[in-house]
Amino acid sequence: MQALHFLQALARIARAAPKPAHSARTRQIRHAAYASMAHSSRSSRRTWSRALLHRLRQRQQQRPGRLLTVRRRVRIVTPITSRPEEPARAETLRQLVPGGRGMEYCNLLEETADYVQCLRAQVQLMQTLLDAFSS
Amino acid sequence: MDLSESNGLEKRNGDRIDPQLIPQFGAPIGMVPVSGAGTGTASPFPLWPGMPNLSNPISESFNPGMLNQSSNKFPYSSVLPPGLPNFPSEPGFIERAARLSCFSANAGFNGLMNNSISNQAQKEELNSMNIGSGSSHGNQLKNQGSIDNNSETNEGAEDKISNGDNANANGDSSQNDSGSKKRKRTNQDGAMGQGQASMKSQEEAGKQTSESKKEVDNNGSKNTGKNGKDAADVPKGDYIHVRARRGQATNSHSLAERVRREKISERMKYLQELVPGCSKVTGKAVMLDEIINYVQSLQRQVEFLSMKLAAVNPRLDLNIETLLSKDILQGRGACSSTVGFTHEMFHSQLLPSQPGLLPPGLPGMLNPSDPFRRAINTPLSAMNPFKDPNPQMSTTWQDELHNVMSMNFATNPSLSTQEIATKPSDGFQL
Repeated sequence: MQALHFLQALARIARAAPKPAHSARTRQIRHAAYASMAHSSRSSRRTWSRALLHRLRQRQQQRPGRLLTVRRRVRIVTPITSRPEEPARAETLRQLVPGGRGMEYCNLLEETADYVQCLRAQVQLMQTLLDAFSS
Repeated sequence: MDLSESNGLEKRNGDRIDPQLIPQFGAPIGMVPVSGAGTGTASPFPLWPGMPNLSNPISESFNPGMLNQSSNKFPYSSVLPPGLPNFPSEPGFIERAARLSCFSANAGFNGLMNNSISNQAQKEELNSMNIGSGSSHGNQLKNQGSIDNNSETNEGAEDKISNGDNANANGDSSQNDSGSKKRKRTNQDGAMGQGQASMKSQEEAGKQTSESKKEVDNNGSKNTGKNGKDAADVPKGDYIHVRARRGQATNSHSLAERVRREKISERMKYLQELVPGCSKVTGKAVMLDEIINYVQSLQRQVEFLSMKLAAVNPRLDLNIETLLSKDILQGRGACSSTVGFTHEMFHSQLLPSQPGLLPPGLPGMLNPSDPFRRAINTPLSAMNPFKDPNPQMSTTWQDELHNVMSMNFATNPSLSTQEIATKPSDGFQL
């Protein structure tokens, strides 16, 4: 599911007028990677996948023709969720995992585990694609 | 008086009473109020959830003259509140009561508590045992060796009953930490609400008993600090007794905390398995650092690979197009579709390049596809650590491969089947 989505997206990117801008392509591919991660069958129920998709759509809507605007909406999130028992690095983890702000520490760990799994799968997929394409 | 009462009781209960129990009622009438007086205003019987006002009627009903009065409330006079289920059958009751009555140590009591069947059956038994222990007759259902414990254990038993109620309310009647933890985890939500409700009701109506518990310190209050928090911990003896001592509010909080801590540690362990090289690391802080580093490195890898793919991609537009146009992936299952698709893509990629060399190239092609397939398979299998790998995966995957082979290389079906037979076995390491 994940690979299928990714490959479809890749094909779409390749089909589109090959922009000479390498960076634009990179961005698109990365976008496709994260989108395919979020669309995988296992993670459709997960908080991080929804948050990730939301974030991707936000970026997509923001980007065309408005390069000078603020890239990210500044969210003043008071650390309500940070509790005294949490270790100090929990905040970093929350920033890393999409949608981690609103979660409790307990759920954060669970989401992190799922996110790590999907990330790893995605990385492996891309690696093998690269090998396949380049060999 | 005994006879009359027993007759009355018999009538009331419709021959469900064990006749051997009847004399007990005569005894505790004299005994229990003494113990009740000994404990101050403690009600002789513990309170069950949902029946907060039990204490008064029960104490009242102990007066011989009021036994009849309480009949309309309690089918079983002063012993059991009406909410309890049917009185256990006589032989079973005798058995259990006998079992319970022979507790001398509190550990034995715990074991007996464990052996008991249900909450309410326990209460019934404990109640009757209470009564039985209260009487000092040579009744076979009474404590034979520990009459001196009886007065003590009256309150102790009450405490135990209520504590046992606590324990049962929390879904935890085991002796072990792990067992209690497990039960708490499974029954957590229901038990928490129930435990809190029960504890509150007990607290409201049983403050006197809690005071008496605090005074009667069978097990020593040294464990209070620990056991007040860790309700599931088992002190040497009277763990049930100790558990409920510390004001039920903190108890529920501490229970919730404990469960939460367990959840967190469980998740951390799982993450430890996921993140490579973290098995040696101990401690949550270091683990968390490792996890963060790993996630960051994975994200960086995604970026890097996407860069490389962007560079490589233009070469393979055509191939991807042709691949995607083929309608192979009909929803056979996520993993299998993925595998088949990628494998087919790999093969047809070589199609335009080397059309003439395909038949001899087939074995050669399948060899480099092994790591490819493995690479595809391992993330797929890694995704389901807790689920059994889909047994359909291999078969459908082989079907896909078959399709691929037959479609592309019609010249060498035998070879393809051979390869198919051999390759999946070693590629599919689940």
